[in-house]
Amino acid sequence: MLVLTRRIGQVIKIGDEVEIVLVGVQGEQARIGIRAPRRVAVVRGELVEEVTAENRAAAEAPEVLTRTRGESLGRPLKQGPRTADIPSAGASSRKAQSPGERRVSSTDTSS
Amino acid sequence: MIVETLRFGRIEVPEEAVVTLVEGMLGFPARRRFCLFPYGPGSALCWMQSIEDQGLAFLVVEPHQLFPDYEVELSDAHAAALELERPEDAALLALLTISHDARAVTANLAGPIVINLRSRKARQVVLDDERYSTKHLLASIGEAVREGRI
Repeated sequence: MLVLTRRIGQVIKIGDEVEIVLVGVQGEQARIGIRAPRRVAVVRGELVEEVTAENRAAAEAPEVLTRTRGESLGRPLKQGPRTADIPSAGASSRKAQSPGERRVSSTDTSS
Repeated sequence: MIVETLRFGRIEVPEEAVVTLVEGMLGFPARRRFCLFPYGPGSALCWMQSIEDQGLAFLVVEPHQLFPDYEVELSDAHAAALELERPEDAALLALLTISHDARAVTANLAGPIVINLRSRKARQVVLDDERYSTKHLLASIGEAVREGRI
């Protein structure tokens, strides 16, 4: 891992399109600004780990249901579900992100 | 198409009930194709069964049915990966987790699955939104599961 020391306001460039700036430091917390094209997904690492762990838990849990309600599960699907059985559209809203840099708080100033 | 499953045996699902994840789900990177079918007649829940892994199935729900204010801010990165051009082409699914004693059912609102209804491409999206966690308790569904009403 490349470790750099930065002062507040100093920038790190990743490729041509991504910029990271140290906005401020308070105790063990650093505020980091990220300027990146919209097509680059930026997300805190611990969120990805949390969702991964929850996916694994979700994959385990239905076994309980099979035991609890074995009589109603395990039946072959006689009729295929209609398209309408799949949740329909309109459930999402896609809002424009506010312009400017996205800021991510981090407790690690060196990575 | 015919799908072999451990839980349901051999089932037939129409092609339009099949979604393809452009990346695997987190923790299951190799599983790309899933079929969706209702948990039971009239149920709000669906099974999302892996076509490639007989033993892998998730319980999912369209989150708006339980959380009317739920909204997802989809980044251009995700929209592009799904070739999603209009919000009305998108459907959302939240994965449910049931505790081992079936007493607690939680919905993962921080990592919804977004489906492009036109292309049937899907992706799990990790939301950086403090309103949503991976464990939103569903008291009413937990009760229904315990009583076998769901």
